[in-house]
Amino acid sequence: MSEFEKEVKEEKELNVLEEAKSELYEEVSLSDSAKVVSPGRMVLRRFFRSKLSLVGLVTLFIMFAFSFIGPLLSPWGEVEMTGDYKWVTSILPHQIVVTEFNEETGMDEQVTYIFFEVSDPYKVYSKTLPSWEHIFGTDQYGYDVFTRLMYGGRVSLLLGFMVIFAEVIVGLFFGSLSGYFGGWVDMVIMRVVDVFNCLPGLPILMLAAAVIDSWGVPARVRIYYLMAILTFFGWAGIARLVRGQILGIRELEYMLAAEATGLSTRRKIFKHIIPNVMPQIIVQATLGLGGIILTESTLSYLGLGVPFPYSAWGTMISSTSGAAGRDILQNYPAIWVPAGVCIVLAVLAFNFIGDGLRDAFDPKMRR
Amino acid sequence: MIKYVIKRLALSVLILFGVSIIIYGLVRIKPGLDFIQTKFYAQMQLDSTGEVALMVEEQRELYGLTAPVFEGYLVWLNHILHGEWGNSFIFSVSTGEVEYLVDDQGNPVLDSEGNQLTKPISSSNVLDIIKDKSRISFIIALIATILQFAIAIPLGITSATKQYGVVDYSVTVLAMMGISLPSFFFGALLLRIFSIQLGWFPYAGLTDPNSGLPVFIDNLHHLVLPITVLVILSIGGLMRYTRTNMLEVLNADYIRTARAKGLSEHKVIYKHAFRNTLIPLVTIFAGILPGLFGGALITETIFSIDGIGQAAYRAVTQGDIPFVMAYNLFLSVLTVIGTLLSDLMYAVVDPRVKLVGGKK
Repeated sequence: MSEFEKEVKEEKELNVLEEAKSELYEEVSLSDSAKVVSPGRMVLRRFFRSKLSLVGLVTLFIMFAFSFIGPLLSPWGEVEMTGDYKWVTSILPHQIVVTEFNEETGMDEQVTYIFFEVSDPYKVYSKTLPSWEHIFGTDQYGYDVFTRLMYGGRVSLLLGFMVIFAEVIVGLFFGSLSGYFGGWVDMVIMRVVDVFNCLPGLPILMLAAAVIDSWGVPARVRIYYLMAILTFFGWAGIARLVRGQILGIRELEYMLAAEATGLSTRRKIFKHIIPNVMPQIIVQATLGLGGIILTESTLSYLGLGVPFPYSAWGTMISSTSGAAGRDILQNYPAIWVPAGVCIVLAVLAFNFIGDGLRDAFDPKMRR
Repeated sequence: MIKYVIKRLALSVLILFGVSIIIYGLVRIKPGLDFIQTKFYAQMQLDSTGEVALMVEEQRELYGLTAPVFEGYLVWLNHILHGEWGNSFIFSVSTGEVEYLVDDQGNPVLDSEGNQLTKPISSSNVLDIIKDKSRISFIIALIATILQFAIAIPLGITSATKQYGVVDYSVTVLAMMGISLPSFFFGALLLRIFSIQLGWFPYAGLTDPNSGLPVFIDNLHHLVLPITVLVILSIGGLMRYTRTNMLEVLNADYIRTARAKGLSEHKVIYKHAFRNTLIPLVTIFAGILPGLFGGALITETIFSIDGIGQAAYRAVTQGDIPFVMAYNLFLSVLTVIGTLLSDLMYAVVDPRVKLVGGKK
């Protein structure tokens, strides 16, 4: 055997060894035998495994498409009068008393004249029953109900998301201050939270909305005031949740490690605490969204929410209230039932998604 | 124990201070004329004797509206603490007392039979009105609450013991529906179906002179729909709550022990598990108290029941700020008392809760 041949053989053996080695590694390596799944992936997979949360997600998707894309396709506008109308002239009687000289008697006499002021004919719209042209008919103002349903959805969904976003920001701020620093900061903030928790929900919102009503702000701006009120009276729950979570996290080892590496307070809060509180906040926010939509529609129902002529689901149902609404309640269910169904669907969807998220984030907490 | 109670009481007072600041602040942030001036503006313009102006000033004094916000708050708070909660603009109730009529000379005015004429005294003091109106609201809420517990707790237990079964799924979905239904929509639906369409129940109010039924039965007949709304809407939360607690307890070690001892399933669930779920249920008391006396705003309005909820609605829509303020304050007091009671009850029911005044 020459030197060369020996070398080649050794090389071959080495290669075989390598191959065997790599085969061995292939069998053992975790990355090849099992797929590495990131926590986010796991959450998503658990979330999509639950049927109810899927139903919620699909419902919400349809609602969004309906209320944001729908108006672009609808032939009618939000405040466009359409449907059946009659030409009406109003007749206004006037009466004047004039002192006139009576030629027969030769004396001044009081004479009463009655005359009628007749206006130019104008259109009066009335409710119409559902037809192919107007899927849910038109309401008492002559607005197309189906189109107003879409615009109402826009308001409810947008307002819900804006309010919950603001609430989370305010709640995170105060909650993390309170939980992280403890001491008197915690004391003060938590007492304020207690105060907000003891305020009656709907009545105080009504009082606030009535006060804002008396300012006489224009209708478009009213919605922003409404958001501000809902946020002002709603942030306390999230602040309390955040504080509780942080109190727990503060005691964990990785916070000790963060402390030991000398990280700045800001970095500790924003990089290490808040990301770990986020799952609970997302769950709470999703569940809270349904609540906000309910509150908004209740306020609109009471005439303190989204102002006329803008459309809101609550307002559409309020047309059934009182003696005047009896006719609509009895004969025109297409005006108010769809709005109620929309509210229920939207709130249900958020609740299902929130429940699904909770189970997905923390499988141990599975109810 | 006493130390704990005192600490909780002090905290409650502090919270009520905060609540009153917010309520007063809300009323005061309105620019321009305050609510009393707005209310009597037209009358003041017409009045030449100055009597109305005098009355308005008196009223404004009561709410501290003549002073800057902070001083005004103290003035108002002082009046509140002395039981002067102001007068409602739109409501008045008869106090049950009568005033004996006298003529100019102070002689009693007699009718033909020689009896002195009397005039019922009516009061628009908000406290009197709250007392008067919350009576019917209390009756409704009491019935609804009892029904709610009687239905929700057994259902919650069943759905926990048979987790992921048919009952469990239907209970979960029904509970969700209850939470998601707006009361005004559900009320309108019930009215439409059972009152207008089927004619089983009356449309509105509490009594119907033409029904021919005894008053009590007639009242109950009128209350069926509103109570249904209240029960269905609040049952969901309670059911879920019971279920969650029951599931938690069922996973506990002592339940496994009980099963290992060979106890019957019935005994395990009702003797060992259920009793322990009662502890967290005590916290629900915090929510019940305002619900019992505070009325149901929307439901009473829909069914035209002359309770405190409808009164609050009318007060808001007609700008009766004194009543709205009082109502909010009243509800907050009830909430604070409810929370206090539930904390104390918790300590009494659960011996593991230590009554130390210190930090948790």
